Amino acid sequence: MAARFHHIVLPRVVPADRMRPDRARERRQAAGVDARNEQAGGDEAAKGRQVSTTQSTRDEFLEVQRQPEFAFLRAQVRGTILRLGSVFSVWFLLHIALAGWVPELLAVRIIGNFNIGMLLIASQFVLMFAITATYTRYARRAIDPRADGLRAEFDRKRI
Amino acid sequence: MPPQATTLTFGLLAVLVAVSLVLVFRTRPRPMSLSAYYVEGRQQGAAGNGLALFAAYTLVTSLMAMSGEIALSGYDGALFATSFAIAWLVALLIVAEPLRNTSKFTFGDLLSVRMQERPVRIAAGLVTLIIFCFYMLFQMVATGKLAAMALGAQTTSGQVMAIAVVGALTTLCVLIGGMRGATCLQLVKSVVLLALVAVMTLLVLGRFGFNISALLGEAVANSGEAGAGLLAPGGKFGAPGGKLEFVSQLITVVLGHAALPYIFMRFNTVRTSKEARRSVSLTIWLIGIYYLCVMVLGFGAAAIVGHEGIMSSPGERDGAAVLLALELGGVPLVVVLSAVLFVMVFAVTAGLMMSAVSAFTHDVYRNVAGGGVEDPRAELRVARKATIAIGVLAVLISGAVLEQNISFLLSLDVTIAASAILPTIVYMMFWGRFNTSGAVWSIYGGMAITVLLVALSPAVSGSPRALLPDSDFALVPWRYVGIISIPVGFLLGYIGTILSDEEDAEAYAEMEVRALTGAGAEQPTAT
Repeated sequence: MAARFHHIVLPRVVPADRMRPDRARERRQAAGVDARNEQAGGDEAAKGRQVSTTQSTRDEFLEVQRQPEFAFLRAQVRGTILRLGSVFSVWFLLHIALAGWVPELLAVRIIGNFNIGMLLIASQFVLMFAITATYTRYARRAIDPRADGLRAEFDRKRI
Repeated sequence: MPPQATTLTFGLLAVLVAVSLVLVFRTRPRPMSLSAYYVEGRQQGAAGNGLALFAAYTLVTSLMAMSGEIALSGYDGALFATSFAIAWLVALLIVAEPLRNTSKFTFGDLLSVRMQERPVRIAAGLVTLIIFCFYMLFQMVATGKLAAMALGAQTTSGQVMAIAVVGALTTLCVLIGGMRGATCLQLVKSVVLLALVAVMTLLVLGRFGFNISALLGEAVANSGEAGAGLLAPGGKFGAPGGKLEFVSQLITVVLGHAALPYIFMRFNTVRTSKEARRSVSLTIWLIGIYYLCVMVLGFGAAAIVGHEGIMSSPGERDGAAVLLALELGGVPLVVVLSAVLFVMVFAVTAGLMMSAVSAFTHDVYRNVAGGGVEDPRAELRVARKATIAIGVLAVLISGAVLEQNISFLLSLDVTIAASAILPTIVYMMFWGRFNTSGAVWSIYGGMAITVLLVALSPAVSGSPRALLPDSDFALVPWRYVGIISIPVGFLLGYIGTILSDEEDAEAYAEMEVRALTGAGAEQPTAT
C-alpha cells in the first residue's frame, strides 16, 4: 500500500549517479545560494559563534553546499517534507473544520454504529501510518544514498 | 480500595521499582563521561529509543484523563486523542533527523551551530527550564493525586511523602545512569504499559464479541442524555469558549509536542540520523496503536461503567479507567493498573530531569555563573550536583502547590513549545537569513505572549476551576491560546531577524550540510 501511495505524492527515485546536474543548478540559482555564498566567502562572520570547527572545515561545508548534488538532495528532502506535510495537514484541518462546523454530516451512519466522523478518525490513523511508511521507505531508497555519498566525500577530503 | 489491595499495589510497585533499579545499575555507562551522562554516549539503538520515546510521551493523563474524556465527551475526545498521535509526524518529518545531525546535547547546542553562542544558549536554556518546571510540577501533583487514589494516602502529608519518594527515586536513577537511567525506566514502563493496555483492550472487545460497532452502540445506550450525541462532534466543540478554542487546542497539540526539549533531546541518544528516523517510525506505530486502544477503553468505560457510574465516582473523568478495570478484572487488575500508573510517572520525570540538568549545566550555568567550565569532567561534576538540586527543588515546590489547581500548566507548556521553540527550529533549518536576534525574539517573544495570554485566560481566573477562582481578570475568552500565540511566535522570529543585519552564510552552510548529510555530525563515544 505504501508503495502505491508513494508515487502519488513523491517523485520517482532518481539514483544518485543518474541525476541531471542542469536541473539542480537551475534550482540552486533560483534559490540565490551562489550569490550569498560568494559574498560571504572567506569573511570571518563567526563573531561569538561556537568555534568548534576550524576555518578550513567551514570552507569544506561551503564547498559541499555549492555542489549540484547537494542542491538536488536539499530539493528532494524539502519536497518530501512539503508534500507529505501538506497531505496530513490538509486532511487533519479539513477533518477539524467538518467536525466543528458540519457535525450533522459526520453523524450520518455508514456501517453499523460507525458514522462518517468515526470513519474519518480511522482515516487519520491509516494516513499517519501510511505517511510514516512512505517517508521511511522513500528516505531509505532515494535520500540516504545521496546523503551518504556526500558525507563520504566530505570525510575523504577532511582526512 | 480495600486495604489488602493497597498492600498488593505497594508490593507490585516495589517489585517494578526494584527491577528498574537493578536495570539502571547494571547498564550504567562505565566510566561515566559527559556525553554518556547527557545522551548515553549516542550508543542507543533505534528500537530502544523508539520504546523510550513512547514512554517519555505517554503521561498518566494520556491513559486516565484521555479515556475519561472519550467516555464522557465521546467523539470530540476521540478526535483529541487522534491529535496526540498525529503530532509525531512533525517529529518524523521536521525534527528528528536534522536534530540528530546538528545538535550535541541540548537545544542551546542546536542553536549555537548558527548563532552567537551566549545569547541563544541562555534563551534556549531558560525556555527548557521553564518547560521543565511546569511539566514537573504537573507530574508531581498528579503523583499526589495518584497516591490518594491508589495507595489510600488521603492526607496531605501522605501525598507529599509519595511525591518525595518519586522525586528521590528519579534523582537516584539519573545520578547512577544519567540518560541511560532514564532510558531504563522508560523501557520498563513501555513494556508494562503496552501489556496492560493490550490486555484491557482485549477484555473490553471480548465482552462485545470483538464487534466494535456493538461496543459503540452500548456506549451510546449507557450514556443517558449525553448518549444521543456521543458519536458525533459537539462534546468539546460545544464548550463555553466556542469552537475555535477546541480548534486551537487540537492544532497546538499537533505542533507543540515535537518541540518539547525533553522529547527531542532523546534524538541525540542514537548513533546516526537514520536510527533517529527509525526510532520515530517505531514510536509512531506504538503511539498510534496505544491511542486506538485508549479509544476502545474510553468507549468501553462509557459502555460498561456508564455515564452515571463515571460521574458518581470521586475522580469523575479521571476515575473512568479505574472503574473500567474494576469491572473487567476486579481488584487484581486495579492493583496492576495502579502500579503501572506510578511507573508511568517515574519514566516521564526521569526524562524531564535530564532535559533540565543538561539545559542548566550546559547552556545556562556555563554562560551565566560559571563562565569557564570548559573541562568536560568538571562539567559532569556540576551536572551531578545540579541533578540533586533540581530533584530537591522539584519536590519542595510541588509539595507547596499540591492543593492548587494547576492542570492548565500542561497545555501551557505545549503551547510554549509550539510558539517559542517550534518557530526557532523551523527557521533554523530552512531559512538562511535567520540570525541570533531572530532566535532570541522568537524564543522570548513566543514564551512571553503565551504566558501573557494564558494569564489573562479562564485557566487562571474567572472560572470555578481556575488557578485563582476568586478573582476575575480573564480578558481572553479561551483557555487554549495556541491559535494566536503560534503565529505571533513565527512573526516575532521574522521581525527579530530583519531588524538585525547579521547573516552568516558559512554557518548556514555548515548547518544545512550537517543536517542533510550528517557530515561533521557528533559521533557516538565509546564508554
